[in-house]
Amino acid sequence: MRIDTSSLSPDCDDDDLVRGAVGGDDRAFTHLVTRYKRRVFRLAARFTRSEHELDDLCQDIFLKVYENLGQFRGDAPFEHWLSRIAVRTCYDALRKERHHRRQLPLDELTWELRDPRIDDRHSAADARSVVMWGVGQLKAEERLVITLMELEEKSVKEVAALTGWTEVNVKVRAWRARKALKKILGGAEHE
Amino acid sequence: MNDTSDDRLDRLFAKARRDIREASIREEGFEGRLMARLGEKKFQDAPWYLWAWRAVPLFSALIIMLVTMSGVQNSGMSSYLSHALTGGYEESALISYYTGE
Repeated sequence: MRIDTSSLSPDCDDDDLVRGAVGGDDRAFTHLVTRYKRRVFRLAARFTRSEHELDDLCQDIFLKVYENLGQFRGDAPFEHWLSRIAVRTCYDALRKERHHRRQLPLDELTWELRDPRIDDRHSAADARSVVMWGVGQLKAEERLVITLMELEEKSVKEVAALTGWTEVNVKVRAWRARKALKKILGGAEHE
Repeated sequence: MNDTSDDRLDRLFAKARRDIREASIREEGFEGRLMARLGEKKFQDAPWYLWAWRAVPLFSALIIMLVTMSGVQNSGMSSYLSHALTGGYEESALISYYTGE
């Protein structure tokens, strides 16, 4: 069935744009990309270190969206479906990265979790660098779960829905990730 | 002392959350880059029969060339045949003359 896409505009709702894109209208898909790219960039930025990596990862996410648009049933909002694809693509990227992970130096920033003055001494950018460095040492699944829960402020239930893992699994992984992170950042010995 | 490493870790996360990476420069023109990659991917993933369609002009040119060449060869062949036939007639006429038939 050929769909009339001549009336599709950036203001159309997601379902119409998806139908248009599935029907072969690349403009409809471009409208969807424009609508959601900011959200995808924001999420992907949590898992990448450079602008180049970020761009590549976002492109991978939208390519997967494009390839799987035909499977979108419309029983849940498009945004949720897109988020699931984005999270899974980020997870795949983390797993690939693990195979050739480099031990990244923490530049000149010295930081220890046992330091009670972290709020005063370090800026938000410093804190982010420290978290990125510490989280970068974790396993892919731990890194994903802690990023979603602690930086994106998702609940256990939301993380379970995004990753397809059980809630128990999410809780266990989050607990392990925090434990490992405390050890990495040097706070464990003071427990 | 209540300030455990868990609390400090939570404070660190809270602070890190405040630093949102500015990606608007990268977002600019993203659609163009994405669609270019998508076009490239579509081209690479195209099934063999689409490649065959793309080869139609090449095959057409090849067929035209073969037809032209065979036409030239046929005209050469026909002139050779007429020459052979004529030559044969001349030879038989000469034999008749010498033998007096």
